[in-house]
Amino acid sequence: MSKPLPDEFNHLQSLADEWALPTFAARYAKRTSVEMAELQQCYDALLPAMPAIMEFLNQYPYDQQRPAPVENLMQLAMSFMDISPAVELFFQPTVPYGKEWKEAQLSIHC
Amino acid sequence: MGKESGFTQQYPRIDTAPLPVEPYISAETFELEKERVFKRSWLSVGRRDQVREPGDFFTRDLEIGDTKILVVCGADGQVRAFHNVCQHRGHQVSLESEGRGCQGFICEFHNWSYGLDGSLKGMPDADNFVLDKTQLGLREIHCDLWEDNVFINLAAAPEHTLAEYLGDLGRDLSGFPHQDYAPIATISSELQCNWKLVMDAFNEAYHVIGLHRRSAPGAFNSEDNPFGHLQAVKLHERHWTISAYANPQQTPSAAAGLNIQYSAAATYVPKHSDEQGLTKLPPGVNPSQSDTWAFDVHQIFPNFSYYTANGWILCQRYWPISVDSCRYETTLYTVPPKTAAERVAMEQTIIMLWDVVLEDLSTVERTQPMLLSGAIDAFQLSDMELGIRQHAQVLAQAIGKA
Ligand code: FES
Ligand SMILES: [Fe+2]
Repeated sequence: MSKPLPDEFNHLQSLADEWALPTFAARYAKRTSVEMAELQQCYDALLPAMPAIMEFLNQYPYDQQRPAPVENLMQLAMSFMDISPAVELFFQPTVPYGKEWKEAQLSIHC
Repeated sequence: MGKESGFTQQYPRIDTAPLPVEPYISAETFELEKERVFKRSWLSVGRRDQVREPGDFFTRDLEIGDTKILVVCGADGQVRAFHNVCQHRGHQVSLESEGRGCQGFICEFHNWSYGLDGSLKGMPDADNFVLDKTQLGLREIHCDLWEDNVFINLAAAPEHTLAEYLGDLGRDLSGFPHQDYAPIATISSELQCNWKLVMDAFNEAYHVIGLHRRSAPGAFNSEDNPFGHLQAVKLHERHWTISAYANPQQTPSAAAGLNIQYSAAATYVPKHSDEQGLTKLPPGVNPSQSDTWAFDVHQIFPNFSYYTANGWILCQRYWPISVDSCRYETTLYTVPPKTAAERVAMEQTIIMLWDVVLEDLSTVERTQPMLLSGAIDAFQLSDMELGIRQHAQVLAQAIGKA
């Protein structure tokens, strides 16, 4: 169990081990390197849990350090957001006919 | 072809012929744009948050000005810009892209040192030189601020002050809470195409129902406005504004719904009825006072798109490198997340910006080589693409080819 979650989210542990990734670049690389079936499976498993995850995470100020399990849960929830366009809109991991993403850079300031 | 009413008709000075492709592939035009436009215009290069406190600085490549620049906040709090060029033998003084709270700059080559105001402080073995230190500061570039945006002008004596240059548009945007928003994410990419193709791609909303049909279904069009017609197009002397339509009935996806619920401010769904209220916005924002307004793009000549919306702004620039290459950059600013859940919500904004930009940037590099095929001489433009005509016309006048 490399990425432990808070106890109440134990049932998502196997997803966290795969998808609790610390950076946007790592999450997007993962999204675009797996099959659509895996994205769909991850999305379907996280979707019903998201309202509870968000309510839980809303107790933690963003500008203070969080316990590792909370941080892992937040990263897993960010992965849900990052894979959502692939599942909800594109029906494939990458943007159809899109610009090659490795030829662009994204940096996050917040 | 008759279109009875439209934005274009309100501006008889606008040429309505198809737009020639030639300026997008001509090396001669590129040189004229460099000398007569980019080396003489006020150019947006960054924002105050990058140079907030004394010693904060950033550098950037400015191929279209044949230079690299260094922008610094001085001990006196003033923001200054310099050529990033050592006065000893021309090496680049700062090799960092940005920094905070530095005391000054030391050239790597022979360690000449400069103060935050650009003055030459000293050099090793100074007694071996015969020179006047007071005359050898970093070469300064005109620099001024508008609503927290840092502009420079490479001309020795700019024709206008920044305020004059921005004119009515600058005044019409005053009162918007520009300063309330913090940087969230920046996307950049070097593109193998003429810079104008990229700016054109952000100068109309006609492509939204085509190119963005997957990423933004039903967001910017509706039964009432099936083609997502712009809400306003306002042309100024050299700048202009286009305002996009938002479908008030759009149904957010599950991820977007969570974003709306937990976001501090930024979503792609405009909040029309919140406390800020549309009527409090200055006249340049949502200029037609539409209640189906999504956002404005204020196109500040020559290469700056400044977006205003209810809760966020976006600064986007298109930097020419050569006739067929350029650099694109965009930064989103909004209210930063206060809780971990708000940060997760923000991730949905960020991923949508990223995926949509990957759509926007996809067409330009596929188009550029086709312009050399000889199979297309001119672009056919609709009333909804009036901004592209305005840009072309102001550019043509500036380079003396109108
Ligand atoms: S070139 Fe900068 S110290 Fe010599
Ligand atoms: Fe677009």
